[in-house]
Amino acid sequence: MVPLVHIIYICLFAMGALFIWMTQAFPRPLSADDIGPAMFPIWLAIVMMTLIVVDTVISWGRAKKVPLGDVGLAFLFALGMGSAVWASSRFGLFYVLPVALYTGLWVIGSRRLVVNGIFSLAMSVVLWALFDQLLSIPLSRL
Amino acid sequence: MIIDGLMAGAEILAQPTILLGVLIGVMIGMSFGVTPGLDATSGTALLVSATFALPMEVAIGALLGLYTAATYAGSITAITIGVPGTPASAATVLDGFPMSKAGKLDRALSISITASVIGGIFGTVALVFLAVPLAEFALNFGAPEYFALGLLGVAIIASLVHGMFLSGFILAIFGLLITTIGIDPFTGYPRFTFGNMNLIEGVPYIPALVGLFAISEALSLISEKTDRNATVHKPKFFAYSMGWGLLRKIGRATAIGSIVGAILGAIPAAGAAAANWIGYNEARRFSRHPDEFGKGSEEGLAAAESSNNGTVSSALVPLLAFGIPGSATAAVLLGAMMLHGVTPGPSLFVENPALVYFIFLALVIANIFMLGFGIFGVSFWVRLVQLPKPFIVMTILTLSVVGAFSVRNNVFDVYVAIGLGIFGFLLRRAGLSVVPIVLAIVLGALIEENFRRGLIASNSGMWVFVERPITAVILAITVVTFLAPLVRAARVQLAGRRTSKAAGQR
Repeated sequence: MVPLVHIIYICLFAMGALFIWMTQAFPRPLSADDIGPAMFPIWLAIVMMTLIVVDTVISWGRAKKVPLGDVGLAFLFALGMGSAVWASSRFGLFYVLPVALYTGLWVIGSRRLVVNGIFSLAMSVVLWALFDQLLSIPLSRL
Repeated sequence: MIIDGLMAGAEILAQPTILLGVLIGVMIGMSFGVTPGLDATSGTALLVSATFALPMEVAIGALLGLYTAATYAGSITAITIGVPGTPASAATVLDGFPMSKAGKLDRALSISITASVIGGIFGTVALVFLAVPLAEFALNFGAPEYFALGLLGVAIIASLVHGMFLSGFILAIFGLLITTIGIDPFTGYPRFTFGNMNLIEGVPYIPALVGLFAISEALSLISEKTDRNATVHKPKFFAYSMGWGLLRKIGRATAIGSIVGAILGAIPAAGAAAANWIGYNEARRFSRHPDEFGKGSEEGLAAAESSNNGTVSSALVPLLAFGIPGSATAAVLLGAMMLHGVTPGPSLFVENPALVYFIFLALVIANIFMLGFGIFGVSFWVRLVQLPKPFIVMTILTLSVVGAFSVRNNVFDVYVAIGLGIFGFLLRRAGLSVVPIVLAIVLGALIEENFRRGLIASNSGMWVFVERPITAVILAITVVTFLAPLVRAARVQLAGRRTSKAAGQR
């Protein structure tokens, strides 16, 4: 069981610090009335980091604890999804999509050989017809 | 003026392709609404991509149809299996499901569709009479007022997030920080792009919305352990049984629900889910039979349904009058409209009034189409309730990938959607909400640009935000909104100390 909120807060705090550090390279304002490109993100990052510290103190003990296993499967699934997108950009969406859909259904728990196959093929054909052909969105370039 | 506008709007709506767009939007909305895990917001985010190639009016008509129907269709799931299809139908379960268990399924579905349509049309009338004068008033607004309004919109939504006391504000600021990525609009300097050309225009917001709403929802469904194989009560193809007597019986509750929905919808962040409960409670308070509520009360069901659909149109009041979305779905609609070259706000009433009135009328027509689907063939939509979870998940994820890609035909956008989808999923598992981030992403550019424009034009520095009375009032409300969670935190800690002190004395 992990207090997920605190892990998220640590990541956001680090991001705020990184953004402040990166603004050092930003140019100065063009006029005396403008605050320039750096100031707005700096203010936001400082307020966010301050609120994270304050909230961690005042909300201590309220963070929901989440079992890692619950998060793990979905997380791995999302990584698999990213890999499928990468593969389709290399080999073509309509070669990868039916295989990815079939595998995805199997992993989530649908163990119907024929139904999964029909669904995967039908979904691929519908996407090709609707988006690629009818709406002229070049899905084959995905 | 309103009559002229309505005539011009009707001329646009009368085109067959536009009516077909609304009809298809309603059908897709019905499908999304009955499917547990999908709602109007994620549905709208997913459909945006499919509307790129369509003419602007057809696209907006389809999205409004989807929004209207998805909010209603959640009640079909609530009544037939006792699980709300969308958060906006949570109170509907209390009386709708007991009615279907008692063999009054057809009657429950008839009340649900009738009350929803009455609430929806009442909300649209409220939209017309609120948005038009507010937009006229907002024509006097300058950059400082828009900066303050944008900030207030984000602050209100952030203050309503439960969980940690300040998490809503932290996530909203994170969203604002994301919008600073890309070219600075005043100096042209690329900020936080890490040399990646795909980030020059900033984080693409439609893929971001798809990730935060749809992908995170699908991932949540994967990690969910609940069994959805509940018993489904199946209605007949023609299940409508609304007579004059029944209509009179539910009249008062429907009116109360409609008024509550119309008012709460117009208030930023209140939303359909809150209206569903408040409308239900108010109807019970004014009912002659309050003891029947929760046990299959026809009045209770009517109030719950008219109130959530009453919010659908009135939620567009802040969007159309000020260009500031008051809810997550309105934020997605704003994104979609901007992609089609339409910027909602007071100037739209001057530059393209016909389009504004077309939006009003499209909402009415969507309700009428919805009535048709509610009367004939509810049995078809009920079948979707029984779809196995893996097929729902894979459909959402596939449409999400296609939707994210379609905006710029760029694979990078798909990775953005997946990344924010994972982040949104982690937030949901941690008990937090993605809505403040979404609103901040949509409003971020408006807030920074108007803040800096206000400063440059004023020559009086920060005083410009205090000198102008409207800006000062809006900013004062924003500060109060920000302080509210801190006061809540102080109260909870004080109560905790008192309890532990009392326990120690014992």
